[in-house]
Amino acid sequence: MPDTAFQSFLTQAQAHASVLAEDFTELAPLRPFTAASLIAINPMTRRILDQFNIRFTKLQDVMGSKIFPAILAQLAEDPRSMAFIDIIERLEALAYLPSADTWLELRDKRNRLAHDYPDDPDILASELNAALEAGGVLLSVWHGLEARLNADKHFLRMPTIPRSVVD
Amino acid sequence: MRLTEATLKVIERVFLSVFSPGDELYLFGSRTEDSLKGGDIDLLVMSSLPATDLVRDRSRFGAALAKRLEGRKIDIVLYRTGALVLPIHQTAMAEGILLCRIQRSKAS
Repeated sequence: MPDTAFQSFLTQAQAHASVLAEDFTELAPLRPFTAASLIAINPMTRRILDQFNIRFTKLQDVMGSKIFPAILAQLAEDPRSMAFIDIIERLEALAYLPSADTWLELRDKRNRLAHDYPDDPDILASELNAALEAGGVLLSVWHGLEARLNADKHFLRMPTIPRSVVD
Repeated sequence: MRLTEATLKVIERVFLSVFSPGDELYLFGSRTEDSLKGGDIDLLVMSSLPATDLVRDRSRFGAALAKRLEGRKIDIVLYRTGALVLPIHQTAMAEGILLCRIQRSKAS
């Protein structure tokens, strides 16, 4: 694949991670949420939560469906012939991911965020707390991957995006 | 019920490894109907565990099923004993086929 496409995926991931990290920091004082605090939520917090969900989903998607296969392709492996579980287990074996199972749990969280699951209010609050925790894990997996790509001679140097440019 | 023997075994084995004594697993939705084709696998877990534990367990259950049943779309609805009953719970409990119940130990 052209290096520019790969670079574009990395740039997208950096932008999502940057905003996700901001949201994560802003929501920190409100954790843990309860059924009661969720019912009483104010509009600004609601907006930050929605943004958190979107950025979590977008970061998880660009990593899983674009960056992971692209890494293997750059290493002259053929991700198109591999089942997704094989791709992430290979990345774990090559130390690009700390754990394939962790990635599957992050994907499960991402799928849950994409649905309006019918759940009772206490479960909704617990799901939100779990999603926030998962956001921290996703950011840590992303930063680990970034560091590994920077250190690996197969890959281009990562551009650093000035914070003012982040959308 | 339209689940292969192999799929059923995987679901039960993973359920047993994740959930706790007293917890029950039901199949509901289109996979209970022999006359239909395709569709998601809709599962209901009934448990008396606290919400935090159930959320954690559902995540582990979902992730483990995704790993072993690649490509299958699986929805897991939770019902906590004594909690609010939602329409989806009523549907699931009316149609549901019990797949698995984890025995409580007889220890005092």
